Amino acid sequence: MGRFGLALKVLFNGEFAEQVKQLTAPKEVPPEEEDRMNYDAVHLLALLQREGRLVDFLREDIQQFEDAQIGAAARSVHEGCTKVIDDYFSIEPIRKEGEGDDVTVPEGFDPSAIKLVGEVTGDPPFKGTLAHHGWKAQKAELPEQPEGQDRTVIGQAEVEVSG
Amino acid sequence: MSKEETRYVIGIDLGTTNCAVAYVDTTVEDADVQVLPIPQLVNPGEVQEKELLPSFVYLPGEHELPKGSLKLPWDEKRDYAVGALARQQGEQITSRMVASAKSWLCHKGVDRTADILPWGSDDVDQISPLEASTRYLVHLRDTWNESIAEGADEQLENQEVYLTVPASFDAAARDLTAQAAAAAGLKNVTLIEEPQAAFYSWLQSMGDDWRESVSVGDHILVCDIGGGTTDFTLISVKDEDGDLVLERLAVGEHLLIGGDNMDLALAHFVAAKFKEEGNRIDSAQMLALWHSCRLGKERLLSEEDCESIPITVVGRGSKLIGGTIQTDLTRDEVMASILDGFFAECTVEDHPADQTEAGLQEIGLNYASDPVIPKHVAKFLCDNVRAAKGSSGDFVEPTAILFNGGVSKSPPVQERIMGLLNKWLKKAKASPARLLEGANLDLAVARGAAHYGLVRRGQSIRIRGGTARSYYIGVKSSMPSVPGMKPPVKALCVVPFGMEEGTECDIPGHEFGLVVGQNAEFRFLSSTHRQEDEVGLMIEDWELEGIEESSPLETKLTAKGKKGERIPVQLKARVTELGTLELWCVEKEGEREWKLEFSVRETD
Repeated sequence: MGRFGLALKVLFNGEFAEQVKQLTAPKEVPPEEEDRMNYDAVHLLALLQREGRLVDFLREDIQQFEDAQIGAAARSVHEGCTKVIDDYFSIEPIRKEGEGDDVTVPEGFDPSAIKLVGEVTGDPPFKGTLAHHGWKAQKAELPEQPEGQDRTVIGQAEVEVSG
Repeated sequence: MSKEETRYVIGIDLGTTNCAVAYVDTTVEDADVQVLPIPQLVNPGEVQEKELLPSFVYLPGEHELPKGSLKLPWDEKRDYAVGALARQQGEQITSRMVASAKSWLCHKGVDRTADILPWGSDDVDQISPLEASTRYLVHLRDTWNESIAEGADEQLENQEVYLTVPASFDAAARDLTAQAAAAAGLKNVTLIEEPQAAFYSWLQSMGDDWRESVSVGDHILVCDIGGGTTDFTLISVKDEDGDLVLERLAVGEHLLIGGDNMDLALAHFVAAKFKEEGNRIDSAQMLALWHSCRLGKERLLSEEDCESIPITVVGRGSKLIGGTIQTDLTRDEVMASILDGFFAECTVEDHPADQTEAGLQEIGLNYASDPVIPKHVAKFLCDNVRAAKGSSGDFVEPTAILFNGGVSKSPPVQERIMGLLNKWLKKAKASPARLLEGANLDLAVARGAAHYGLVRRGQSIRIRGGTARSYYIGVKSSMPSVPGMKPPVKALCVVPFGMEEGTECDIPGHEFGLVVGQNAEFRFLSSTHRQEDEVGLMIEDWELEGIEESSPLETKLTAKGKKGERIPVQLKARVTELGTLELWCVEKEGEREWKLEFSVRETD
């Protein structure tokens, strides 16, 4: 119940207050309901859609197409999504060694950054070969959006206006 | 005119398709020329820094962009966009985009101070070519003041600014450029020609080694092929009391052709290829195709082992994969389209087809009617043969060539132009020209303009130039009037080619009458290749002599005196330090002077 409604309830009798409240309260989002939408996540999807049409790509039924056709589209998706990563992120490998190289995992390593597989017994240091160098973000910044932007929009509908 | 030396020396390349700013901090010893990153809208509401500011203005309507899309960190209320967003948005809604404002600045058929752009878009609040140029400068000024200037003294308004103009700009277009700078508040501006700026950039990159690369007697052809325009300049190397001296001998005409035309030609070629395969390309896809053709062209022309690259155009609706079409663009196709289309082989006698005036020609930009650039080179060399002493034949025989601009960076384009030039030279029994290497700096024009600022402070060699044209006033011949025949107009030379900045000259002998209270209008003429005409020379059939009409000059005589009284005056010409040309009427018996203003309204 909004504060305005509460005030009315105190001032007048309940029934009248209820009528007024129905006339004045915003209908769409009752304020007490928490907004659980992660707008930054939507924004990232919007960027990947804008530059690389990623959402179109993932939402399309891929079964009906030949690999060559999918490959042709993937090329442009790749190009556009790469631009998003280049523009708004700075990412780098977690391990600098080449994949396939012998590596040592030291004592006190961070298990959230290095995943051990195979015959893992005993305590570090562990010796093994690097199967994947991993990735981590050095920078992740989403661009500003204009204040008039509906933040649930992933990709605008487009209308070609005729003369 | 002495001015206090400012901390920064700044070069601004006010380009047809992109602007750039380079600067030198003179308080740092041996400071490098640096490029100013320019924050600009790249998407609605999103500002990013880029080295180039695309020279586009977008004038939005009420419905296309969400609220707050156009605000800048330093201007919350901005109601238009310049730069990357302006171009991107304008490509989709072309009627609201102002492009190529600079080419409109030198368009004699329109009033360049009137609100006429975007051309033909009557339901948009149009702006003038002058205003568009001012807006680019305002954006650059605000950028500088936000990111570099500390205190009012260091604001761009108060710094030494070198602003580039095409060598082919006539006096009126230069004057308008200076007006745009003044409107943006810049108080300390000097104009410099773009090919000269490119040459200065080369000089700077060579350091002291440049003396090894050129020698006395050299004629250097600077060939500047930009995005939208192509510009030629001829610089000679002379000996004066044992010192090497550089002199700008000639400049070419304004050519509206450049890399963008080539990308578009390629896009049309690929679109035709798609059509043959049964796929239609709509206008939005054409834009995407244009961009991918540009990238494709750059790779195919620079990477020798790259034989073909796939060109993909994705479906426009939400069906991405199903709507995607693909074809290959091969090296041979690019060669055929670019080299044979724009750099076709020709002889030195082969000049561009004349701009044939159709009976009812649509007003618009005067795009070069002949896209073959070597033909324009050939014409330039032939037109200016008299300027270059030592060229014995029918055309200037360059001994070296310096390339500038995106397209001319690619080896096949350079090889084609060099090859052709050397064929012409061989036929004329002259030695082959050599390529001046080391000129491939990006943003060479802005960098060179900043370097020129240091040169003016005496830190390096300066190219002697002066006015790039000779100028004439149209004078009616006095002859008995014949019914039905206009008295012929003769051309009186009032400014010789190469008249230097900061000098003035009287035009002796000819007396004109100005009438009090009336407008006096003079026909004003110019030529880029009559280097030998002296002040006071009268030329009869000037149309046949390669002299062309410029914007007229006018003044209103508001002097005291009886209305209708005729005051005898003589003319005086002055080239300002800034690089603009002024003509004055000087009272013969008295001390009064009246400045003639360029009339930039429509002319026939």
